[in-house]
Amino acid sequence: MRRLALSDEILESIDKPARYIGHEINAVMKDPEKVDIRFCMCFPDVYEVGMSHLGIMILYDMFNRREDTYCERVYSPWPDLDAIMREKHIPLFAVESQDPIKDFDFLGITLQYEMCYTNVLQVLDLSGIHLMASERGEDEPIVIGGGPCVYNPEPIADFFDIFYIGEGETVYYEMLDTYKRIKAEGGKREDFLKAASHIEGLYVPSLYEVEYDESGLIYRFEPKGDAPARIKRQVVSNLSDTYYPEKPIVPYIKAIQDRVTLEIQRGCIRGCRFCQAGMIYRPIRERSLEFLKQYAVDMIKNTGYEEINLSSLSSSDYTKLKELLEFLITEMGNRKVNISLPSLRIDAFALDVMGKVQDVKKSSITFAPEGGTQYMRDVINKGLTEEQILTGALDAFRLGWNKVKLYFMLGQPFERDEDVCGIPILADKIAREYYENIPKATRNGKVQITVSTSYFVPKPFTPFQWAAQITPDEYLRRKNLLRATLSEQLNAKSIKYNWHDSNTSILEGLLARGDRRVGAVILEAYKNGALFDAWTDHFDMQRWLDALETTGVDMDFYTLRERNADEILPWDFIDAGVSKSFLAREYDRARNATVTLNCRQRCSACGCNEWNTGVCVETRNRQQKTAAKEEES
Amino acid sequence: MTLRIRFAKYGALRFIGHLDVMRYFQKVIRRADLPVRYSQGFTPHQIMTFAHPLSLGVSSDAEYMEIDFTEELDPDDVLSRMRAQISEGFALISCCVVPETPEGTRSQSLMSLVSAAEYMVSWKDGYGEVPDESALRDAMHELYAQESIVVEKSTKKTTADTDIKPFIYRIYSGGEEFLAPSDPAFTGNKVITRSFAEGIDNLAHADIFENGRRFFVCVASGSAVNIKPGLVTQALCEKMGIEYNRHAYALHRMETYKGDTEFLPLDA
Repeated sequence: MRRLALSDEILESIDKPARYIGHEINAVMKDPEKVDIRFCMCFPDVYEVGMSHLGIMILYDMFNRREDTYCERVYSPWPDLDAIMREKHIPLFAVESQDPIKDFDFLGITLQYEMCYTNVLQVLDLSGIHLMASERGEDEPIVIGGGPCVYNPEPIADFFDIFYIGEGETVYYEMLDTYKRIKAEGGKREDFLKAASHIEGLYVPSLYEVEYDESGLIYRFEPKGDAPARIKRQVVSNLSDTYYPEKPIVPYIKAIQDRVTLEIQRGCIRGCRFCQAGMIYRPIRERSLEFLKQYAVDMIKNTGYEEINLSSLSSSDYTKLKELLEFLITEMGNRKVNISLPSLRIDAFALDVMGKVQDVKKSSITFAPEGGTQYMRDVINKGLTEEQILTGALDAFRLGWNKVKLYFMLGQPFERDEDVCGIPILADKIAREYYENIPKATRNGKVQITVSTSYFVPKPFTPFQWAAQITPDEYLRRKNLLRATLSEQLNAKSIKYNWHDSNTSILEGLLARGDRRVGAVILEAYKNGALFDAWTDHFDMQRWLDALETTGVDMDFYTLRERNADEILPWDFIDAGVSKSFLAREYDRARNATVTLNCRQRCSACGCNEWNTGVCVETRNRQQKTAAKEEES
Repeated sequence: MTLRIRFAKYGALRFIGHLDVMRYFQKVIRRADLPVRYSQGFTPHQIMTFAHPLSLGVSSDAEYMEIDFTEELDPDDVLSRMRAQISEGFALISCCVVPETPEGTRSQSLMSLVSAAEYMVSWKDGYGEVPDESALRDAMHELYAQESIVVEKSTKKTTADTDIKPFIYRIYSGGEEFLAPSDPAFTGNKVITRSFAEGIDNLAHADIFENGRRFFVCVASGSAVNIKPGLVTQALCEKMGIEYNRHAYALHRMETYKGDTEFLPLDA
């Protein structure tokens, strides 16, 4: 029988002990003695959240295809176990072998949201790994960070040995080969890190130096030795010929995503100016229909899941969506497998499909206009018009839906009070569509509209990366203005309003656009007890305010300050594909509320066409064809 | 057709809760690609029922579930196809066909059949003093000779003093002779017709401890009255003057019974 790292007594005393026992269906079991490299993948949040993440599943599968490597997993112990491990000095362990993380060669941590940073420190701390990379010895694992947060890794640069910038499928094998070679040659940690810095896409923060001027701005950011000055984001060129898990792990307890995830494409053509994902995953690349059909069937067979989820940033933009859905509706219907469809733009086609796969009476339709007026939606380049929303909603009402969810952001650049007021006015118009057009006899009760607003956080590598975040007080004022305007609406009783907490968003602003000096705040907040900050019940702003006070870091400098166009931004050394000049151009167009066409309509020369793949190739071929035709005629 | 499957749960998977066990077996059935019957409605679910939830941390050689299939199947074939999809921590022991109920009558649910369950309670190593065999026997005699055995029984909402004596059907110690408890003093007022199903090792998946001390107890179980073996252990500890620590005992369910005055294993 397998040995567990935790005693029965501990497992009997904590919540959901199944989080820590491993050995799930499709988990990979290898003999650690028979591999050269032990890699532990970490999602720094609770198991049920971490097990829902596709990226780790892809890399786990990819690493374990190598005979010389054993990739295992670890997640943040929940506070109940955290306390026991500290008290009893139990080192953090990987769920597969139950061996201490400290004995691994690598600890790879995915950074999906900034509010997980204190959990990163928890994982290092409980593992007995030095928090500061500079203090780590030869016997400690190499700590690597990846995921969307590494597009500004500077606030956490002190805690990591390497950051992997971009998509994991490309250079990890090269890195592992390099590690093996250097170890065989008797090389040290330092030798490996130097070698790694010459692998495209890998950033070794200790090999770079930052200097600041009197006003606190960066005036010099340079490699110390011969490390490259810029780090190039990694992009997979053919998504139909790459690693994808045929046998994803099935947890014993219900994960947040309790279903098979089928990533139909990567990237987005839309270019919404607030959206980091829409910029850093460019260009859009589709997986082939054949690939998706095959994987859908195989993954359902291999897991026994009763639901499949199509994942992408904007599923409606997948060019063969109709064929894919026709296939899935028949194939999955036969197997009694549900299909879940997030991020579909509501139109006649979407409603038709949704009517087939969901219970119309129970489900809701979702719009994310993000801005309350057409002006605002032009500012953010959200190509969604009021007419599209009202028509889509009315079509849905006619088909039997009566629940509508609306998502907005408050505090985006150039937002005016009338744009805030536009949010409840739009919600009311949707309600009117219902009451004016749906005869009482056929109504399924009242229309239920839910408006949610989040507090906008400017992110690196977006056109709004230079913008000031609004103050928490200003956010609350706008929220109250929205609420007051809502109460004046005819159908106010049919509209529910939810808003985000302001504290976490302003902190997220600090962590998203901070520089290396912000690391001290994270460390101090962790020492003050901050942990699971992404969880409302666990978040305590005071720990962070105390940390800011102790470290003397001025939060407003990072959050409320509009950056100058010529300022060196902490993340400028990353070549993410989208160029700074493109982003600046887009910021200007936002100021003038000018819409930019999407990648399929016209190339905006963002800089990503150098990868020569996906939509960039499609659009170029089409434009060349059109040009040739014009020449002919 | 309906099949009743007996299975064991042990090792690390003792820490999987009842609802998760159900979800687990639904996926096993799907991976095995067996023609399971689904309920009607927009979100159909498999027609699958379980006899008696097992507490977290307890191992068992006597878990039962019933699954409805749309076709006539060979029970052995179902077992082998399911076994190919089972992980360490579960073991499928036997499978039998549940006889059809006569037209017009409702079949009794598996859950409502359950009337008693038999457990082995072992002293774990490393938790202080282990009583010697004779002290344990004496304490059991004394306990069972009492008019009543009153313990504090707590549910989710309330705590109340309850007399559990009427619900302890037998209690006995000893090493290998547990299959036929001979001392009538240990047997209550119930007739346990066939203690254990034939050809089944009721301790196959139990943890074994060096100190070897253990006792066996059969208690009322199911939806009407449900007595946890821990309560009996607690009462026994009080008799022996040992402080009760719930972590110091390993519990193993050996059998689950049906019947009112006469007990039979669920797969008999």
